[in-house]
Amino acid sequence: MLSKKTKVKYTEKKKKSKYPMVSFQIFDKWCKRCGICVDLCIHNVFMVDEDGYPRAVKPVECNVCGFCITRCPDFALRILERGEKNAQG
Amino acid sequence: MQKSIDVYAYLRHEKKFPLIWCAGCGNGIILGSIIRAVDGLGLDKNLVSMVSGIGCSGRTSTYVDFNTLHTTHGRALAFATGVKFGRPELTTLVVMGDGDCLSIGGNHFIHAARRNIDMTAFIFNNNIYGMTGGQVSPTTPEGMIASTASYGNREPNFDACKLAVAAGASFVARGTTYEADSLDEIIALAIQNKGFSVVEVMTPCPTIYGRYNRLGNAVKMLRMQLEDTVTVEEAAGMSPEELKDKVVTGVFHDAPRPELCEEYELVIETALKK
Repeated sequence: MLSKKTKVKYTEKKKKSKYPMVSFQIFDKWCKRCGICVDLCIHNVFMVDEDGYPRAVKPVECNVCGFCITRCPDFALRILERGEKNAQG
Repeated sequence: MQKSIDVYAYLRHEKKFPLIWCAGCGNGIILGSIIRAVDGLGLDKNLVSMVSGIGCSGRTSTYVDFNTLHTTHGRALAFATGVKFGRPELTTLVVMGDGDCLSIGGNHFIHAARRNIDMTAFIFNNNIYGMTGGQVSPTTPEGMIASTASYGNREPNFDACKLAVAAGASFVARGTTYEADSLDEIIALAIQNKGFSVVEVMTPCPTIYGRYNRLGNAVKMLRMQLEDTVTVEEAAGMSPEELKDKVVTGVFHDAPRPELCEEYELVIETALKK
């Protein structure tokens, strides 16, 4: 049985897992670089690359609230949960 | 997050994408909301028809994989009335812009509301005629600049929701693209309502309306919707002066009354008895 101390450590470790729960698929052909997903994400998951397209730089921080995919006007963003295969854009 | 749905199953993304709308246009967000509402209600996409008029919003029917009809300017409701009478089992969604619905098709709008025929009318309200270059539309607020009002618009604007309630629509609501999650729920309620339902959606137009009035980029205009709107419950305790520059969102009117297609079934029955 785990002691209290180790239990706390265990949960902390689990929260800060370096493996993301989700991955992001961005369709560059459809994206119009409006910047809505980059700006509205409260966990700052996205960053703009040199061409202006969003890139998921911190997918670990994502808690899958879905704010970005519901507000993407071009259907260019998709959240893939673990084990889900990439769809063809 | 609710279980993520496959919106791409409802889209013609292989043939028609990318969307024609400008960067940051809210029309795509509304389209996503409509799809999520249809999916949430479990409707068969072969039994849904979408009719659209002319304008930026008119392109909506091109991208969805329902039974679609892209019709003449302002006459989307007239075509949809024909569709509904011919095939009453179809769930009919009518997509119109603010100018399409309230100026060119204003007559069809009030008469569809009066008849209370079972369909859902969406008004994509971006406060301007976007596709034709930014002319004043019936919903441009007073004092705002457009290409045909370079010193500011001096005409009072329409309140589409009040007009629909007065004309006899049985469900009237307003939403914004920023609050897309509550928009899903409003659209689901509107589709479930048996009768004429109107959903007005405030959508940002950063390319035309935003540039003329210096309202900032797409993100700023989207965030502005949160500051400029109050819900119906909040508005009840506010004075008219406080409400002057605010847009009220929520369900305004929900009073079911006899629906036209069902009334016509009774007419057919009585005629056959003779």
